Amino acid sequence: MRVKIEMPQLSSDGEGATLATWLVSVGDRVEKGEVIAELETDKSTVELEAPASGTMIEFAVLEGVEEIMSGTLLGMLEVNESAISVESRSESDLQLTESELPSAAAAAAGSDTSSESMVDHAGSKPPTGDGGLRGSTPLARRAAVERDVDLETLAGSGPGGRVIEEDVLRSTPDAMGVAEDLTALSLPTGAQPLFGILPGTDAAATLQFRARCPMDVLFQVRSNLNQSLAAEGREGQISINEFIVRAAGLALREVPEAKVGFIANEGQASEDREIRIGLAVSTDRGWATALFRNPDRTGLAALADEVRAQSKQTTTGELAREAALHMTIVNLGRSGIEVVCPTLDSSQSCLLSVAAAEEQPVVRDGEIVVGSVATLTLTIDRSIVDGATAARLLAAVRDRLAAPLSMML
Amino acid sequence: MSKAIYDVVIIGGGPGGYPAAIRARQLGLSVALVEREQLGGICLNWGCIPTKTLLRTAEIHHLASRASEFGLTISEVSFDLAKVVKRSRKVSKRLQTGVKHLMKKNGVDVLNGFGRLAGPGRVAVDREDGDSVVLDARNIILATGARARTLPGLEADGELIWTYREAMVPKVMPKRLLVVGSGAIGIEFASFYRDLGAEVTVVEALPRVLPVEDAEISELARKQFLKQGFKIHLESTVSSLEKADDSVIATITNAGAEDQTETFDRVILAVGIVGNVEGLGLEGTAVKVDRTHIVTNEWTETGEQNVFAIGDVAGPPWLAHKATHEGVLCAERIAGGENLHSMKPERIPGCTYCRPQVASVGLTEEAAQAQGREIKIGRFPFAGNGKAIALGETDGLVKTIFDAKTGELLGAHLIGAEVTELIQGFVIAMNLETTEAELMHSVFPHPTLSEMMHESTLEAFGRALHI
Repeated sequence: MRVKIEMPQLSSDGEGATLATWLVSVGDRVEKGEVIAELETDKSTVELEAPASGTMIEFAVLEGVEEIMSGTLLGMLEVNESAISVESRSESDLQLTESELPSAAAAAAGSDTSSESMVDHAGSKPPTGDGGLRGSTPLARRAAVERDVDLETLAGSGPGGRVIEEDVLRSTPDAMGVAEDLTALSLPTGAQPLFGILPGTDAAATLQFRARCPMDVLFQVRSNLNQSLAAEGREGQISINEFIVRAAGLALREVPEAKVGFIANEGQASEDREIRIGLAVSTDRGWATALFRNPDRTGLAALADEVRAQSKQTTTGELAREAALHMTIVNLGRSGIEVVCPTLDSSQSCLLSVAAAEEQPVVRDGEIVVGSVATLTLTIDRSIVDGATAARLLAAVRDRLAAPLSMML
Repeated sequence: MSKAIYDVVIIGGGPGGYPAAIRARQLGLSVALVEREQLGGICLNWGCIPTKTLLRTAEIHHLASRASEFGLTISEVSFDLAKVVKRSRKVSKRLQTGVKHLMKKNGVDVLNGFGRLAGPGRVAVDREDGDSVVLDARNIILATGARARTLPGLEADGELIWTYREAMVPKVMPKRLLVVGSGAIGIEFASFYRDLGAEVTVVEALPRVLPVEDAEISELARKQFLKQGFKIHLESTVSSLEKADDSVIATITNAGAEDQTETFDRVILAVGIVGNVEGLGLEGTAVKVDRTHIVTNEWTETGEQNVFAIGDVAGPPWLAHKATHEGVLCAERIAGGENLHSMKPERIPGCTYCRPQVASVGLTEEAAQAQGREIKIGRFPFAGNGKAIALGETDGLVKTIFDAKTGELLGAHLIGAEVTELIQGFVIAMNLETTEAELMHSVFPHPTLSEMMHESTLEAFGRALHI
């Protein structure tokens, strides 16, 4: 069971605080009451205690983040079943001392009834013995069950951090709430909103697939390649982007059914032999897309040169967007973003996002070892690309990245 | 005025403007409120409040005329129209004084005069004596409201042909009254005059009365009105009004029939409203106007930076409580409030205080189906409720609409006695994102009309107890 670590209320005037230092790392075992972080307000430094015993599995807020309001999710603990559950704490619960927290049995009973009422769609039985005001609305709870979303991982936007239905919808692929805000921004001419869904796109038609990809070998291969490049006296380095672009190109060659470009404004799918992949590049004027033709037939070093050349172009306003893309890639690994849930714009059928690799316990040959794992998210327009095809495509990308030597051929 | 630059200058002191002023002051902003006429706006002076006062008279009159049903003897029920109107004006006056007091208590500077934009960050106030003052403002809220719409050839003259203003202060009781338009305003006046004995004819261009309501509710309302002796022409328009000495000859046109000519003593025009956008100095600004209403986004922002618009002038629904909510939201937005939620139009209730009353919130059955939702509908009639029978109010219905998949309460549509006081229960339920389970689980007090809300929910899921 997972337990949220939330920002406590530190001042009566509701001012936020800064997360100064995490005193533990992801993967650390912590005891309940152990000091795990230091928080700073204008007036003082406060120690944050672990709400339960367990393993630190995630930091939701990184060190140095300022003005964090009370109730904000700071991180997650994995506890064993016997630990006290503090899930779905309401605002008022935050004021309670530990002795006032419901006992393990009561908390468990409370969550049982809530799950019963959640599943009870037909309303054949009204919920009984509700455990008081929760951190989510009834509709949000039902939406969470239906979409298989863990409510505890969501930051609520309702009063006092209450999770409302919109929060759940936002967290799942076919919700476009965030996108609306971004399309509203005025982007420089030619630049495309990165996660925007453009008018005319059917929001309900998107589907997402997620895969965890071991990155250890790739990091090693990249490091070796760059060392030999340097030894040869060649300019520039190969970045993770080139591996991803090439892996995606090879995967599209392997799963050609997924290679359907969507021509914006014409509403027609086109098929051709060329593979065109876009890479979202951050420029000083917003996001722009660099175009790669047939990257499966281009070497890594050549790709790296192309990325550099196109990044320069995009800053001067020339954007490669003349042809329909078969896939757009967003790599936010360098920003340390752990999960990205992008949405499609009307000119795309496939969007691959790559999150930061994290050190995680992985099982290898029956042993638990530490490995680097990145989450890959593939968003498709299922009115163009079949779901099963997309799954094969994502698996193909993952297999290439996990075993990068297969890309060398 | 005391402050060099106001944080907020609000043009219009109606149910949108004055709450915006109070909220802005609560958030520590300096505020000036410009009002050309009376604080409280149409709502308080010429709308919601005085009509409710008149309708209370009509209700008591109606009950008195039914006295024998309740075992009472009242020999003759009559009224003094001047006193009826006087009471209505007195109530408005009292509330207007209340708003004045609120402005003073909250430290809002109130300026009398016509406010208009006078360049970026400036509001000119043209006073009645011809003087003009210019205020500097960091933010400007346009809350100028709306007025009755008139149709070409059907202009009100204030004597024989009325808008809501004249209809609210009649000097004589018309014997034969024509009401053009069967929206909330038209129907409330029709109900008032009918209960006080006028022969009332209603003409509506659309195929049903109270056209924004759920079709089933509209039909129940129509039947009740017919029972009360209304004449109703649906899918009809008034093509001409010819004024005679102390009467008006109206030509009523219906596509499927021949024109009818009928003589009326008075005519009330209630064919919608237009926004008060004239003379506001919007020309040359980025404030966009679409069919007399200012275009805003969900945060009440106009196209012009730091210029906001709220209430009737900013578009539908034309309701005081929508204006108030927007006013508060706007003030919080200006103050840079965090975690603000924009208003959800589908959660704004609407009430019509005719007899029988009508109240609703959310999607109609038709709208829910148009969205392609699978729905469950609950209905519970007043005739099945003990309190309703005890009150002698057995005509009416509580209709609820749920999403069959999620159990979300999508809409509630009520007709019958006191339903305008019941609807808030469903409004709260919606805002808490209730499903049917919580409504079923709530204990409703017995005996009350509210039990019908419970039963209607149960009925939607095949579990009603008293039907």
